[in-house]
Amino acid sequence: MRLAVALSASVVALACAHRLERSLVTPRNAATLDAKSPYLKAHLRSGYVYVLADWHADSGGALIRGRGVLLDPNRAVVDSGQFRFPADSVALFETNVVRSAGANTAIAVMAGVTATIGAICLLSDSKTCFGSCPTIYAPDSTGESLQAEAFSASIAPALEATDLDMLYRARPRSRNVVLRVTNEALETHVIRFAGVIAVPRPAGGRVFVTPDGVFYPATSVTAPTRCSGAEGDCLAAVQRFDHVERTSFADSTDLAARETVDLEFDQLPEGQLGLVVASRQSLMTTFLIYQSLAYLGTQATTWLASLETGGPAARGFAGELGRVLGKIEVLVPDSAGADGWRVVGTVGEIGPIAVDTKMVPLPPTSGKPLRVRLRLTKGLWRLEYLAIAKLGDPVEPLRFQPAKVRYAGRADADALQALRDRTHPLVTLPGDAYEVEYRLPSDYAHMELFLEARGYYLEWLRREWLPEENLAAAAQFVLQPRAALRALAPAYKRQEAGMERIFWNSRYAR
Amino acid sequence: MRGSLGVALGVLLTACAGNTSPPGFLVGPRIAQSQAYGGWVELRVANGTSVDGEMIAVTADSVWVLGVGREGAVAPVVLPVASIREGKLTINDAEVGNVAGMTALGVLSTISNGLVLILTAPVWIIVGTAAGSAQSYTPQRRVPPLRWAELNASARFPQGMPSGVSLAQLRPKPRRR
Repeated sequence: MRLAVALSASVVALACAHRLERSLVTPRNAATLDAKSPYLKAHLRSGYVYVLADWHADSGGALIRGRGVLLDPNRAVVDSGQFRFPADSVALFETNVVRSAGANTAIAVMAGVTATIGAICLLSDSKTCFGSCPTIYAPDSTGESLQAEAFSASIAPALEATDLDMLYRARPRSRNVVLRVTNEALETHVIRFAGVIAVPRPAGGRVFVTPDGVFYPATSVTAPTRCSGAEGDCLAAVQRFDHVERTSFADSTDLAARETVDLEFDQLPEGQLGLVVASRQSLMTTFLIYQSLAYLGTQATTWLASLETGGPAARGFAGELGRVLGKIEVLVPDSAGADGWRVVGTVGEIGPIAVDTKMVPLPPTSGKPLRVRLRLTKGLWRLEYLAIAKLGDPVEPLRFQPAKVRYAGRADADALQALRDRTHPLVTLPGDAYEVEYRLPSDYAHMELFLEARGYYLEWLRREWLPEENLAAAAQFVLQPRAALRALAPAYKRQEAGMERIFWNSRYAR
Repeated sequence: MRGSLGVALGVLLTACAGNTSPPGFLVGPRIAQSQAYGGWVELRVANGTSVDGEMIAVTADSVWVLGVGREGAVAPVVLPVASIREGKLTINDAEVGNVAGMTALGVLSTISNGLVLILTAPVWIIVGTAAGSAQSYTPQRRVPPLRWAELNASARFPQGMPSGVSLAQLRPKPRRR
């Protein structure tokens, strides 16, 4: 890799196409001779020519001096050495200057692009390159947008899981809604199934799902009145679902260090309430997953296989790091609590790409304003939207299997069969993109849509990671995750500021 | 990768401007700075014949050419410009090989781009081909659109044919070995 980057740099260094810029000057204008020309040719009326190096035009161009040769009309050398002659004894002067050719510019630009792309992968150690399971695009009011990423935590067959994502911005234009399921990373995706769940919306409301998969119709969805974190007021960032997120930086000594965000709601609807949390992760988890694979190096596949054969204990060890990092804890005031607060639920899905929207039911409360605290790992979560909602009774959703699947614009019966039959999964590779069509009820416009997908994915090991193989450090991830998160804090902080740009620029698409 | 390089070099060669000069006659720009010979001119004469050779001198009404036969025989020719349909003068070697070499290195360097080379390698080939093709035309001057007198800078005698010098007695530029 380094050799290849050096190769592109050498292309620039060796860029060596030239063009010759030749000029003729009459003796009267000898003072204007281009001094950049390394040789001066003085053509005599007789056909002889002086070819001079180290030449000078003295006395305002009246006298020419230089060292070189005198050639006859056949260009045979008749004399050589130092020459000095008046300019008006010459018929024409000729200068030649070699310039860099335009081709060099084009080549240099290309070499720069190649070196930049190479350097991005090199400098980032490829640990911030795009990666995070199947990405799902759905129609919205502007056309189409990325709205979900499926089973992000399932990085091995043993960790296969079902994932439920609210398609918050989905706006189907007909009963036949098409989701685009893509593989935009250096990963192999194994999709067991991908179905759409639809739930009728209440008048003027939405439908939210809890982390446990219970669907609640919700009305009077209300943003907080106040929001404060370590940085101060954060209300503007969380009061709308508008791509403006509340973020924070990781702790410089401990990636597991926590912070709190306090919310207050002045306007409280009557009845059962729930806190809507729309969030996604930062690139910290991506970094940690890739770093652990780098530490495992050539043993990574053995380790992933051991998850399969090692039973629940092995899988438990694998999840320890995630437990230390934790989810977003939702707390309410409780005088009996250790610090005056009590945890009433947790929310948050692994994955840095799509916003995940979940709802945590809150216990009955009588006081106003309602105070809610979020406790979360610093620099790990991005909060897109927070709100309180009045909940109805849980409802049973409608489930829809794919009706059609297209690949590269053509119907793909095998992929359709794979997504409908849970025994033979659909396997996708980098660059693959499937259009999966679902047929919804006639009142589709009043339905809340969710994606339910099951599967796992396999991260492709990068050659650049192998030199970092360090089984002791890998073991620390499992056995002493807190210590591992402290040890990796400086490395993560060095990359944290530029990670987002590198991540999105490294997205793989055909 | 090897196939891509082959395609790059193949396309580059077919897209380039050519000339009929004997091997070694045209030299690169740096060497041409210090030589005192004319460029290689190819003339299409109105009667359908063609004349190729070193441009010795040119004026508004005549062109002096020192043609070199296949067996090395010298063929001096003076043509009135009125009898010439078109002409092409090549001043020096275009160094297209350098561009091709840089393109080949560039395609190889896309190894550093991982899978993005699927994008960058073809772009290298396209840009390299275009650059090489453009470079091949850099040392060429054509009449028309230029006028004959404008080519004199690249004649052996830019000041015009010297009186007292016989075209028939001029020796051709020695071949480089």
